[in-house]
Amino acid sequence: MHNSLYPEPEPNGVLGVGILGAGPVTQAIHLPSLARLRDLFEVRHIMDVDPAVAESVASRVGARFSTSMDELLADPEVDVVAICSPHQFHAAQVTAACRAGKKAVLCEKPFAMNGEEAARISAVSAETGVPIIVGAMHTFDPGWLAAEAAWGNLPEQVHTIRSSIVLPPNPRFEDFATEIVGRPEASAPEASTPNHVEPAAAKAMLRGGVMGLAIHDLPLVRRFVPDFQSVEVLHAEVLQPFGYVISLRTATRTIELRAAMNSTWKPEWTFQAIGDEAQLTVSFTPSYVHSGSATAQIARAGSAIQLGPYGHNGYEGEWRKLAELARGKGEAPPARTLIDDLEFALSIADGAATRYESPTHTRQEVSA
Amino acid sequence: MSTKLTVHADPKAELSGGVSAVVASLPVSYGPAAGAADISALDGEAGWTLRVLAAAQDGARGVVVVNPVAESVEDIAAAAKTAAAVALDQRWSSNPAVEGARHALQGYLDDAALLDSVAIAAPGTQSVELLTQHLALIQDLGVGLETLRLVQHGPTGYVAAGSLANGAPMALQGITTSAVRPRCSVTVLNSTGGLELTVPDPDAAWPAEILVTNPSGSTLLPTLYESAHRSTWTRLKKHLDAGQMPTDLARFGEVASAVHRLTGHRATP
Ligand SMILES: NC(=O)c1ccc[n+]([C@@H]2O[C@H](COP(=O)([O-])OP(=O)(O)OC[C@H]3O[C@@H](n4cnc5c(N)ncnc54)[C@H](O)[C@@H]3O)[C@@H](O)[C@H]2O)c1
Repeated sequence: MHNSLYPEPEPNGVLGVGILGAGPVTQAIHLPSLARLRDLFEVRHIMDVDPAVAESVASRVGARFSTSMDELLADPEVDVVAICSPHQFHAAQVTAACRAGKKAVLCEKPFAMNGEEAARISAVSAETGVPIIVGAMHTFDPGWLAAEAAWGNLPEQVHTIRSSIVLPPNPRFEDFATEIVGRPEASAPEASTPNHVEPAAAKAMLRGGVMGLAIHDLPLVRRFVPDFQSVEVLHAEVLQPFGYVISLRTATRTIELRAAMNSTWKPEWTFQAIGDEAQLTVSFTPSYVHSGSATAQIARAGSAIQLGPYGHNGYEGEWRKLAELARGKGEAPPARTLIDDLEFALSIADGAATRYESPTHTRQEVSA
Repeated sequence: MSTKLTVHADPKAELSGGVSAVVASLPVSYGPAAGAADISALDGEAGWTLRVLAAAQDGARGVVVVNPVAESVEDIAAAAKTAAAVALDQRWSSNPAVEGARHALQGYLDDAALLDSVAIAAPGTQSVELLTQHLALIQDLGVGLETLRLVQHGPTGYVAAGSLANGAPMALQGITTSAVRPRCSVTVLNSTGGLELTVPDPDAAWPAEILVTNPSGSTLLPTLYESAHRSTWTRLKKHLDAGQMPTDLARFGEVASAVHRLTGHRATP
């Protein structure tokens, strides 16, 4: 039985990985990332409630499969656990993985459904000494990390933050739109009225957009918003076929979130933090391909430095970090950070959905 | 028949409109005036509508107003009634690329999903002035301003939201920073691509960029190395030679009215 008290490397130097949930994220994101990290990891056990999925995905990587979480957690060959099941199972599975004495846990976002649940998980992590990483991949992107090391006094002077996302067609569109509220029917656009969206569908799109898409950048946003707890949603609008325009404010910061999914071939994922004298621009690579890190630019009147691109992206970055933590090196993200990130995202998702009821929206003008 | 026109600029317009340099770059069309000038160049600070009337009364055939502030619609309409041809030299909307951008944009507006625009100016720029320059560009791109409302504004900028004719959202943001050069960018996304326009300040002839994206690729439209200042003066000369009046003031009246509606602020002479 492995125990987090004994974090020395495996005899052959690689860590055994067990994965709970073998859906698209496991298949399209984590297995390809792990395939690039064979010196650090070996996938040994895949569990999914659907036995056919578990078996077929496990066979691709030569791993054992099961349909029971307990079976995977009891597998002595599994050192670290990745939780890639639907979000409502995350809390229980993270807790169980910590209690099973694994060396480290990677939990896909969101790692809980509310702040109290997040706090309970963090308490179990502290009690068992098992570090937890949440899959906020952009925070592990080498381009972002290089910017963070170079930005100096930028966070104090920033007054405006922008996150702009344009995504090409993506079969995962429905997951983004509906994973939180579980209303698959709500995301289907009506072809005859291109800019008319039923209010319930619009609210679902806003929640899904924030918790599925904006959530990747909200931890970055929060780095520049010391008074994040006072965030207020001023405006929220949806785009067709999927996307959002959300305006936020705190006492000291203006925050604008944009996302659009259309049929373009040209993706864009840009994060900007702008102050009186300096501006950070980070351009991330598309999520589902391994096309290296983000590039970051820090501009100050008349000059700019560019950082990156580096050879790996944030998904690989999060696994590298997990390997460090499992070996007792490095610092796990503080529990407070994970809880604050989650609560920040939830308050924006709730606020955007509520704000949508404002009577000034275009949907009333175009639905006539 | 084209005649050379004499020019007088008030000291503020000389600075804000770079008038001497522009006149020097159009030596056949324009020259400096010793006495009464054919063309009067005025800065657009508060009171410009009255100064337009005064210049016309003094015999100017043409008036160039640099970056006009949003005075009342009545004052702007009164200025439009003078016999002089009035051309507005506006920071971004007078850039010669705007006409091409408007044409290119037509193909994207029908199935537009979003118009997102950011105007960047130096710290200390008044939000109302930045918004005026921003709206002038959006209007000259052929986008109506009627649905816009102000989401927020403060010392470091503003956010305005509205919708396009097809109901798709439009989001405008003004931001003050000295980290990068002032500019105004407009992005329109449609179902299969989009258009990105970036207009620089007119203090040099750096070209605006129009990038159009569709399923077969992205194309940078031909760039024009002429500043908004110079483009205003070449346009005014064409109007005078052809005996036509520019429609600048009528269009600016709509911009001013949108600025008043959004901010409650009305510049007064
Ligand atoms: N980081 C990212 O870029 C990113 C992107 C999209 C989704 N996500 C997150 O990743 C997670 C997985 O996403 P997905 O799209 O693959 O999800 P999914 O719902 O499509 O698939 C999850 C898989 O888990 C299985 N499953 C269901 N209940 C289970 C349980 N109790 N235990 C184990 N397996 C169970 C399902 O059979 C399915 O195969 C979600 O939490 C999602 O929020 C992350």
